[in-house]
Amino acid sequence: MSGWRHPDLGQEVDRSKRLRFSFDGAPLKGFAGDTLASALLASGTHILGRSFKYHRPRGLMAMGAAEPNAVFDVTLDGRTMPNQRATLTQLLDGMQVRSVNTGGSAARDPLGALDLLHRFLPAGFYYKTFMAMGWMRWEPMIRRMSGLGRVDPGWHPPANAETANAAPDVLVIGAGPAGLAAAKSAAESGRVVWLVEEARTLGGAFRWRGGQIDGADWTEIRDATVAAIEAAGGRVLTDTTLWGAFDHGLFAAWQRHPDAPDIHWRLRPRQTILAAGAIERPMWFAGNDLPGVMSAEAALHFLILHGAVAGRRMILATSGDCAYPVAGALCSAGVEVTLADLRSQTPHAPEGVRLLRATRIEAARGYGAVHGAVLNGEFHTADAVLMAGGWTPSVQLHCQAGGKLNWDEARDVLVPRPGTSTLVTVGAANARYDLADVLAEGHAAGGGSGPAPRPTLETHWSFAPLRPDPALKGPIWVDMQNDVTLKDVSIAAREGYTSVEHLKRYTTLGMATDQGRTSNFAGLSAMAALTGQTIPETGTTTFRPPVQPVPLAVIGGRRRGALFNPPKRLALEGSHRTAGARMREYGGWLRPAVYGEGDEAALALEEARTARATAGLYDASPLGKIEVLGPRAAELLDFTGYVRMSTLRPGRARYGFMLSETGIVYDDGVVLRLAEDHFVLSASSSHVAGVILKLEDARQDRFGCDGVVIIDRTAYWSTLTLTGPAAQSVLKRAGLPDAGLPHMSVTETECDGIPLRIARISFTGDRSYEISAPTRRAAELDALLVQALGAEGGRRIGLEAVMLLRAEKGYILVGKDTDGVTMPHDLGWVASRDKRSDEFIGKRSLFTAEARRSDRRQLVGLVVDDSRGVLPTGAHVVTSGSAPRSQGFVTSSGPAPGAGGSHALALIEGGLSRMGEVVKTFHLGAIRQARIAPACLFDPAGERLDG
Amino acid sequence: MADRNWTEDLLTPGMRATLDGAEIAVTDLNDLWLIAGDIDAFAAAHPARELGFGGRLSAGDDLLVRLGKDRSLWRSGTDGQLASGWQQGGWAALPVSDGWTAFTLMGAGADTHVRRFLALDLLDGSPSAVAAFGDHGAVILRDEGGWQIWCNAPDAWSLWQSIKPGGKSAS
Repeated sequence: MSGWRHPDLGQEVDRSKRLRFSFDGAPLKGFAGDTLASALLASGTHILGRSFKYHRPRGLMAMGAAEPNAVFDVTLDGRTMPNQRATLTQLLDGMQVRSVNTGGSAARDPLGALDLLHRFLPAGFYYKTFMAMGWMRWEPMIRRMSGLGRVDPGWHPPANAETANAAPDVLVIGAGPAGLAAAKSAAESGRVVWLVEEARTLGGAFRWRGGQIDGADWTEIRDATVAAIEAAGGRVLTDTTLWGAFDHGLFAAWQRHPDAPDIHWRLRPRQTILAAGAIERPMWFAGNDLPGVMSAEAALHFLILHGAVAGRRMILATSGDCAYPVAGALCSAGVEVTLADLRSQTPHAPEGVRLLRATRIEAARGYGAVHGAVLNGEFHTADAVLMAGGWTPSVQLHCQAGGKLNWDEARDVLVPRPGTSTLVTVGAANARYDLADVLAEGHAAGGGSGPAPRPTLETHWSFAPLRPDPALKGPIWVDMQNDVTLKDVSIAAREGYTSVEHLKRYTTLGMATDQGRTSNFAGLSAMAALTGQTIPETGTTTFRPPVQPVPLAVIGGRRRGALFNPPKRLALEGSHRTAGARMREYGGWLRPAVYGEGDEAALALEEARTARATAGLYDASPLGKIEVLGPRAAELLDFTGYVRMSTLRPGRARYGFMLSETGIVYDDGVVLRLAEDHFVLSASSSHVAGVILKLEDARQDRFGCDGVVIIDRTAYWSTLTLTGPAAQSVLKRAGLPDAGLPHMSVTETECDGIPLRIARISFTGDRSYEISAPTRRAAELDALLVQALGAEGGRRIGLEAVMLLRAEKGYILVGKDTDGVTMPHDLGWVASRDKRSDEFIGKRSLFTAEARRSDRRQLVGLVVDDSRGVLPTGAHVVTSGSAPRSQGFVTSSGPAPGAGGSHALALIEGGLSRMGEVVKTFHLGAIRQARIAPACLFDPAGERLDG
Repeated sequence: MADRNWTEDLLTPGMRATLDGAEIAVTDLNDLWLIAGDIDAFAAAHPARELGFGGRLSAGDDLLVRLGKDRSLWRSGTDGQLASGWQQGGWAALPVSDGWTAFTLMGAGADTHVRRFLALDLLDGSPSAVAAFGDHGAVILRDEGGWQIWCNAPDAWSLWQSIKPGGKSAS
């Protein structure tokens, strides 16, 4: 292969603007308007990369998204973008281009020696061989030998991609002949049309094949289409990849902007017309992966648009008429062309082209570059071999949208089955290749009422279907990037992987960055031949988004950094920050972890000790405040909760659980009864939405919409919790009414005009008050309490201190001190299971054989008597003996601020009946002894709750 | 998980940012009640103009902003109050103003920005006022000056950040 630049051709390059770039360190030049692929082709660079597995040299094979070989890491202005596809990347001045998956450079890759062994490394070799030899040992080496680009971890996209929505009347995907005709007729009927085109210019195959429509150059229909779209309020998006079709008519498109943030469009059109064209099939002969073997249509594309020519002496192998204009154009450009047509009945040869009828290409010869090809057993010298093996319609989006395919025997293709998806497919994507048919189909799909545009010169292309023959000798490549050969397909069939889905996974066929555009048909037709099935019987793999690679940064858009899963913010965040809080995310909320500078663990312990000694104040606003109202509210809570709430008197509070249908603890919390028909359910901060969903499930399924409603007022109330022996004094000093509230009771009152809800409930084991005020008054409440707190020797405490306080009291956090199988009786809560006769969610599951096992993991405390500090959370409790087995694990652990020493909570098999037993714990190789104790270490009698 | 460096740039009513051809401001919502249950019965007892997605707010009207089949926001145009709690008519009413934050989007380019952030077509005609706006659930309404976007107060910071990058904040 000896690529060169034609002096006159190249309608899309600007020869007045010369650009410099480098490839694997070698300085090269191109023109504005070049793609990386065209610039490299014109420069004569023929080895552009190495194959994934055998590191075989590979060159440019196709155009657009179908290209499997030319994938590069591109550095510009110090930023490296990995895995850029050369055929879709615009050449810019100063680009440093590096080949991927090479041990050195594309031209000199020491790992290329692997190719000598390729007959010994068929599909499945690595797994079969190295699984038995300790895969984990070999995996790093195997991974180093393969793979694509290298990510620069220090690189960040220069700007966040924008995410935007649009809902046009009509979305037309593809701006080739069919797409232009469809968009034009739709826009002329007054509808808002969005025309999306992957290339930077409109026209599709018109651009390199040209054409006269209704007596005028094709550019007139292009310009008329754009004018009609804009007049009707639509948009034309070029350089935009429509990468996925999703449920409910949603399409995702990536619009590239060289000088501004890219845009990720979410489009919800009322009608969608798919005019994505077709991909030229390769042909299957020995050495069909050599650099210099390429698609005939791609060769024409590069010749006309960029003046980049693949060689000077070419063999064009074909079985169809569409290759003849390509041969003619190349010949006119000064290339010596031999046209090898498989058919005996052919059109006339273009002037200057040597036509060989009934001629099959059997092999391409050379290494690193094509030196010639064997045609009907005879060697012919050539520096490039072009293939025109027919067409494969681009039906991916039709299938992603739920569409099915029909096998069209006459055209030898799978085509969209009409009416099976929301898309209407037209043009080459629907296997229409004659221009008059293409234009008519597009025009009709767009709702055109008048006559369709017609080509001045009609074309009728015929072809002879081609199939890969698995019996052919020599390495015949099916998937270029992933190094899958016809032999691999045969091996897969022999080993029973005859389903195309199994074939794909066994061989990696179609799993490369080109998503099998040039390989899938070959794979499935070869499998059909091997199994004696038809192609429809063999089927296709599932088409999933993305149709083409899309940067994750584009999909993520602004959702990164602070906006990646952003936490909810407290109304009092400013006050906490002023008080020196270190803010951290807990359960989806940004909350104070500790206050002050220094070691966090020490600060938390100090805060917790102060709370035990005098008083502590913490922000409990994120706790769910789900209000359940109506005459059937108690009934709903009884049904959805493990603990009966209908017996709760107004003004009182009760702790309970919500279970899943399988009896597993889903959440816990306190229920306040404000009135006969008004409850407030307190849910864990991170479970609020889930608890509401479960309540609503039950309400809508069992109670209907009358008699009970659920209102989430978590955001309405801000809650400050005052805890410690001096809590009551602080409350009084702040001027807030205590009113002699007993433990587990609630009152609604006000202070200085601030409406308040005060509940005597405790999450620390000390006398506590949860004081809630409407959020906009929270700052006033906070100021009152903080001032009084200081006077009583108390302080603000963060969540880390609260965690220490609640753990030594044995109060659980659902999800931390429980796991996915914990039932209430595993936590020691058996009364409801044993005494409730009515139905409640999860009840049935509490009486299964599994639920009754005595070796269930149960929550207990663990006490260590050594001086090695706290037990690590996550440490396992293991059996003795030579093969220790885990019997459970530590769920929470830390110093005990009230009781002294340290304390841990753990889920241990049969733990509740093993009190006092000394067990072994294991963590990262360290073994310690611990004694099983009650979960509650601090004030087991509960005297401090009223202290 | 390592701590992330969350901004201390807290959201306060009155904050404004300029967008391309538009301005966005943070405001409080007042006198807002959540009505759950039999909305038709409530509306019969408290006649109000019902607004779905993109409905137009006006100053003097009692408004019922539809959130779903059996829940709506109610706002009095005349400082009217409701009885709190469960009512005999089959609905419950609770004040919720403190749980909501509103953004006002004004200017010639406001429509363009709304279209870009909205997951629904502006002309969708949904009877509910709830839509995904910049990946957040929000209530979307119009008023005389432009658009109102209402969201849960704890989520307001992230919604603001989603909308305003590139714009300049000023109190």
